[in-house]
Amino acid sequence: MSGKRWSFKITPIRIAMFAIFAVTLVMYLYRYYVGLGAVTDLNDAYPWGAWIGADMNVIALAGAGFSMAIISHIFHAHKYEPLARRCLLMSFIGYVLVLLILIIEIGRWDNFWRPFVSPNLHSPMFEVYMCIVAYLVLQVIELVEVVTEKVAPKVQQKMQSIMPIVFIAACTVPLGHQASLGALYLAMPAKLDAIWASQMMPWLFVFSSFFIGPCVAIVEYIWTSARYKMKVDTDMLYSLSRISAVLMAIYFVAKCADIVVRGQVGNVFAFNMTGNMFLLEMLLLTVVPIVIHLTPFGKTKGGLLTFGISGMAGLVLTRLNVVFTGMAAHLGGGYFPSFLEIFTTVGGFCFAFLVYLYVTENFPFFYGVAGDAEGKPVGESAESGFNQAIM
Amino acid sequence: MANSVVTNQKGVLVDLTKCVGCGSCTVACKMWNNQSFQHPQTEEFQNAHGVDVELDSNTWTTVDHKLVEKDGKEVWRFVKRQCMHCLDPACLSVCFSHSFHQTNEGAVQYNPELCVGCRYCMIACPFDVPKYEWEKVMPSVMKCQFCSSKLADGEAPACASVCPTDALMFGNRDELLAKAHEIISSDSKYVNHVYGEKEVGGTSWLYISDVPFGELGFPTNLPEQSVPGNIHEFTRFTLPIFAVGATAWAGISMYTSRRHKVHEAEHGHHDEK
Ligand code: SF4
Ligand code: SF4
Ligand code: SF4
Repeated sequence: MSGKRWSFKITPIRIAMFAIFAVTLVMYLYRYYVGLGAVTDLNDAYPWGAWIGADMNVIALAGAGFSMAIISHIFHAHKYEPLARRCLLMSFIGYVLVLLILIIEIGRWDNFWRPFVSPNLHSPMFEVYMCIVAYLVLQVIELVEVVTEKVAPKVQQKMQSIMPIVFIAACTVPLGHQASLGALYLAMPAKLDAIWASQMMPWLFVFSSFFIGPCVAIVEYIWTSARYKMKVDTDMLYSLSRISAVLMAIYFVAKCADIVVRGQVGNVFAFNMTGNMFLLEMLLLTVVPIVIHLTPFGKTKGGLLTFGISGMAGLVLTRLNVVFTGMAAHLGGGYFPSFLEIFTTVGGFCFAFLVYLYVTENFPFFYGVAGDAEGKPVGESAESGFNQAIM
Repeated sequence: MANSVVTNQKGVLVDLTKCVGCGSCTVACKMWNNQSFQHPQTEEFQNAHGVDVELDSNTWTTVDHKLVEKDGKEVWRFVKRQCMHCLDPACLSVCFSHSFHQTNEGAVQYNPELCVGCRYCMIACPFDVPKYEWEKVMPSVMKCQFCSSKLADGEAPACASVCPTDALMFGNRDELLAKAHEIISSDSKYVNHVYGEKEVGGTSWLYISDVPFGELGFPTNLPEQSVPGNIHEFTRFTLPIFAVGATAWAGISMYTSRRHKVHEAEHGHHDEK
């Protein structure tokens, strides 16, 4: 880890992402200057749109941070620890992205602090807000601990006394906001399509955000391995995918039971928009990954990648189906995200991506990869993979 | 009732068979609340009564003219819409900064000072009542406030006080409810349903009609359980989740790390496969 450490490789794609993010910041100013109505397609019939949809998804996928932490720190499956670290980083960046989107999404951003002084403990939104803020603080502490390990070992030593509590808290707090995101929709039992409008929603939300963790971890691992030209430890990934697959099967059964108990079988197989979208969601989130896992294909790199991507796509669909598909009949078709809504969302993702690249390239130990500033791995550890490099 | 603040629950009984669609109430509402007849976003002039009129941030009540079929004939019916002032309001319970509160008389009031503008109240209201000032840089939510200052003085709301046909009867909710049942049981033209008696836990505004409510644009799939009641089935688990979660993680963590150490001691090195 010698040489220039604080640098950032510039490629055309990165320049483009910078540009998009810069324009996004200008759009932020514009939105603050003219107001919500002028720049979005949101309206009285459709008060929640693309920004909320994006936030719901980012939070759900960022569940990878807490689920991988639980798997590696709570169940002490140490072989997944490097993955848990990366997920912690991604998840933290994800939550920052959520806040970034929320500060233009809310109508009265100057009142963001009101819930702290005028709290409504009965609102699921309150729980979402408080848990996310608390979790961000916990994540910062966890990240500081990781970073100081190499940079300032003394600080890291001092932190050890509080770390067990921080770890437990960081594994507990997300249960609150992941479930509450589903609970948001308990307020609309008569508006949300009956396929999704279940009292079980909070529990299904928190459960799915948990088992998506390994999917995110696997996809990111394979992608990073390609970036650093490292060997992929498919055995390790396969055993990790098993955790997901088992939980997916449980989720599948729970979801089917939920549908049957509430008499929604007919609606699911009505072969209309809502029914089909539900089937697609179930297919991608559970059936496809489980089948892949059970076949030899599931042990290969390609199989693991498909496993992860299918799960992630399915998870995104579960959230979008609640926010849009399931509400469409009630809200009507009077909304399509405006150019600014789409652009700023993309801009937010560009920001998240750049931060991720910057951090991983300047703090290679996140990956257990010794690398130089170009992001190229150095020495043997590159070939043998980070699993050994971290030890 | 969830809220003990309400000691003198008022209400309005709307007899839709008596409404002639004149729109006086909508004008009275605009005057009392000092609102223009412009659409807040398009700035076009608009009446608050007519066909397909809708509530907006500048229009807290409308009289919706509906052409419906009754006994084989087409007839007009006129439906006044405004906030229903639920007994256990969704808007109040979902707002995370407590921007809503109930007055002694049961008026559900909104305080823009506290509002963060998340618009959860808008999407959660079973009657889609709260509207937003989309055109403003610093917008607020807007809805009928049940003329709460008038109610506190023992007066009828502006809209009810100007109704020329007595279609809007103001009074104590329990008395109005008894009256509503009396009217529908003594006259067979009425549909046997007091809308607002049980919907989402009951509302201050009650309706009786001779045309089924579904045909008049009322949501008919509302549960009797209030929205806060429904949400509470989850939120009551909040603290238990954290308590059980944290305890479980701590317990499992201690157990697995112990097992890990024993394993290490036996095998002398890391062996996790
Ligand atoms: S009708 Fe809607 S806005 Fe009015 S009190 Fe009920 S929930 Fe609140
Ligand atoms: S928009 Fe305002 S009043 Fe409505 S729920 Fe959000 S903070 Fe509360
Ligand atoms: S009660 Fe008052 S604010 Fe509400 S509709 Fe009537 S006049 Fe308007």
